[in-house]
Amino acid sequence: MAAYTGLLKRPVSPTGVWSWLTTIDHKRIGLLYGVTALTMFFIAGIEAVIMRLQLSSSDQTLVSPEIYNQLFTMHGTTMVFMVIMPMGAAFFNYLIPLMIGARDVAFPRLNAFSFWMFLFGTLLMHASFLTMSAPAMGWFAYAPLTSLEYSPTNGVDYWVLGLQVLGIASMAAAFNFVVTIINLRAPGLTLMRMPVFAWMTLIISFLLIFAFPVITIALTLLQFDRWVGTNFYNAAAGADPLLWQHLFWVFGHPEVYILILPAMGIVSDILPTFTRKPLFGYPAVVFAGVAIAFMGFGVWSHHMFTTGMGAWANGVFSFATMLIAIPTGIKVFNWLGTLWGGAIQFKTPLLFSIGFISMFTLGGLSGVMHAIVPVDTQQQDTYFIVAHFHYVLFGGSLFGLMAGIYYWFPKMTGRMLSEGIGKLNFWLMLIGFNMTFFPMHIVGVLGMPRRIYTYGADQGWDSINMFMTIGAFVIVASFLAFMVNVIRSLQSGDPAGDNPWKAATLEWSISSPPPHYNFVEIPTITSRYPLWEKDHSVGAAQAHGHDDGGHAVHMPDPSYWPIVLSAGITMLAGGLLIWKWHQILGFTVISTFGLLALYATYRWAFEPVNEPNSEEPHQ
Amino acid sequence: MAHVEPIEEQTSTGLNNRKLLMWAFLGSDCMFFGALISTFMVYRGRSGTSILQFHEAHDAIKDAIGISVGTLSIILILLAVVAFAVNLIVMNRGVVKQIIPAVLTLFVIVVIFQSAWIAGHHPEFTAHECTEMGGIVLPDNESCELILAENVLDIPLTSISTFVLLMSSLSMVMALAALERNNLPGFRTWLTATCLLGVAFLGFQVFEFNAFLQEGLTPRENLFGSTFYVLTGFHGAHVTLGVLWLSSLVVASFKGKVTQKSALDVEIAGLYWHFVDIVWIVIFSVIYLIGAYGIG
Repeated sequence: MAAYTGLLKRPVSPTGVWSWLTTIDHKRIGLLYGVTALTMFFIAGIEAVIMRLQLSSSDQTLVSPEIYNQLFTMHGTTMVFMVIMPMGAAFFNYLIPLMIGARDVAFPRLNAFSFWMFLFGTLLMHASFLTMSAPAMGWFAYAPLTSLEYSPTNGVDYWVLGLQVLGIASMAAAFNFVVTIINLRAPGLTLMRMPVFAWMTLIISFLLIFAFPVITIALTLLQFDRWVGTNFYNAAAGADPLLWQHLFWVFGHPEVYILILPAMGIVSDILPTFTRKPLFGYPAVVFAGVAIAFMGFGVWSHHMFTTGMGAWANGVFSFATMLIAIPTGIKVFNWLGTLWGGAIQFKTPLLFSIGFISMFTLGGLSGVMHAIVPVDTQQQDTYFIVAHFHYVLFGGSLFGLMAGIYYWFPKMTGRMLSEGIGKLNFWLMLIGFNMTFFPMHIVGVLGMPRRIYTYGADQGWDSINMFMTIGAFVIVASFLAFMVNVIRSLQSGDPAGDNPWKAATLEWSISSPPPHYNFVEIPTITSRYPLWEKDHSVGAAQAHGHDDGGHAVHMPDPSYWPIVLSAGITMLAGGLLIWKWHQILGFTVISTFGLLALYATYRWAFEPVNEPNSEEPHQ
Repeated sequence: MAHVEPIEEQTSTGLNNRKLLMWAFLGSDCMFFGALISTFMVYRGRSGTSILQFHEAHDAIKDAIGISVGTLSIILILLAVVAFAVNLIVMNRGVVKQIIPAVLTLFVIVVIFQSAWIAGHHPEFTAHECTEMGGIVLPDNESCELILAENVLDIPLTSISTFVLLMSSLSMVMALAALERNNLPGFRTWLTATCLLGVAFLGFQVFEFNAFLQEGLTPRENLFGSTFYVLTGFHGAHVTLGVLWLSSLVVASFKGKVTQKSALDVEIAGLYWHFVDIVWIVIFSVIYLIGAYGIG
């Protein structure tokens, strides 16, 4: 039916490009997040491989020092903000409503808005490559290197504005998932019956809500310094040279937990399935996560031990950092306790989970080493640090996310991934990862500094660096195996059925892929592992209800205001960039798109859930 | 403001989704203001000295009509308050719609006069002022070296604007109470009053910013300038957003889109508005009171 809500007809078709641009279905948004994040992973991976090639032997000239700076800056920024975070977002978008027995998130249009802000922020930051001035000051952008004096090109500007846009995306998503998880749980699904992944999503949503404002303000102050000429980071005018570092790490340390907690949640849900027993010490795992989140706000200065904060500050933050290892250790022992005595099935998701536990533990151990101030002073800015955070973020987060992909791919696509290629993928990745990053501990202790584009032959680091570069290509091979596996499965994978792993949580009670309304009938939950209950009443209700194809379920219509609003906001940032080059043009762009954003906000606010007289979209 | 929410059957906690969202947002907003206020506190007393030239006072409006526009504005605001009081008394007699335009007109006059004054006003800056503000008159006798920081603040003036903003919280409460009793005219009056008080606060802020700029305190001048403009400006942006939101609700009520059923929409907007007011109390204390009297 022609339902006009403005300039354009409201989209109602369930297929085609337009339906993806206007979708507010959490499953489609989750897939969009996942595909975008994997694409960015590919790009950041290429950056990493170029760096490894440059470092493979002494005095290489593959890239210039300037390009090398841009490569490590964009590699770090992309991996943190545009790969691991959105991959976590892909999972929680797709899975949370399914896990908690809801038909969608609390604010479906806000959810679409989050994704488009993320995509546009990513594009905005990567547009800097087009002007050949990608940011080159490192992913934590210490002042005063970011000042106009020391970074006269607009790389920093792209970085600042890109992160602001990405920040809006993350916070919008966090608000949405806090409300969704607190308010949309199925009857009987108490908080302590939720899957651990839902718990971890709730925790990281709170972390995002409280940590992201601090970086937003830090970036805003930097914006004022660069656009208006204020003095926030100008030590010559009396500013504190450490202000940026404090603000950045007050955000930055909780951010580390934002990156790792989703993987911990994923693994905590995979282990019970493949050991055929409930998670050992569920409350301990949950409360350890909560404790990590709280303590995560009190350890930021351990990134700054060498800045001369004084013995007291160093002592307090050193102690707090050792303390936070306790809840983390609790989780590791609970995972081991889950494996202990279980009827273990070594499927690919479990292999990746075990990889996660062991590699993350190694990364955690080197992390505790840094908590000791004299040791940290020795290791600061060496490859030892690079080794540490790759063990946490690659060995930890990425192994966990890979486990999640292998585990839920059948649910998302309805097809199984090949176990053989999956195992090849796992072993190549584990071997390549350790070849690449373990020697970094050694070369770091030998004194190789991070962020140098080359080194002299007299240092004696040639062979060890060549070995690491070969390791990087083994990782590349593992991801080729992964891509082959995905493509093969999409074309001719075995049908998955509703519950191929005989798992226990709610998302496995519905068809694969799930219908767009998720549940015909909202289930009532009586335990943590509803599908392992003897009567299987939850699954039965879904199977029974399939008959009417969900015709009785009313779902909200798609909307194009989320993408319009996010385009408007992103172009405000674009206008600020143009403003530096041409003030009048910049002002025109800012005011035009500001008005567009305002208009879109109003249309959004007054848009009904369903157009009167419109047909329900059905898939 | 969305009038229909997709999945709003019963919620797990019984709390409305949008209300919960607003509380989460306000928690987050505390961190925004917290980071800015911390920056302000860290940078207190770290501004260097500036050099200002002496100049004569100049007030174009006072020259023309013989009365200071500042005084005139205060008289007009008082009149506006009286108009509200009268409005409150006669509200039940159905003349509300006549009062609203009257108050609006009054208000516009205040704003116009204020802007005109800002444009035509140049405060005097003499050797006396210089020493008053703790500066040193330079040997040339034409300029002054001083730390341009808390000493530029006009606490009585900002106390008035603080009072105006806090009164807007009262009128916000009255607006919601009126809507809950299905008293639409009362709702419109009180919400319009809230908007106007918000705009009045912004007027004070524009005035203050202009006055400081004329005294030579720009955001570039020193750390006090940088932190002052960004912190109070960030709060001003919040008030602006609130005024836009509340005035949209007033307009929507004339189109029949805000009724007793949408009391929750207004309550959520009110949560935001009260939060912005409460934050201002903190900012006022930190910048104006603690700053001026040198505690800590």
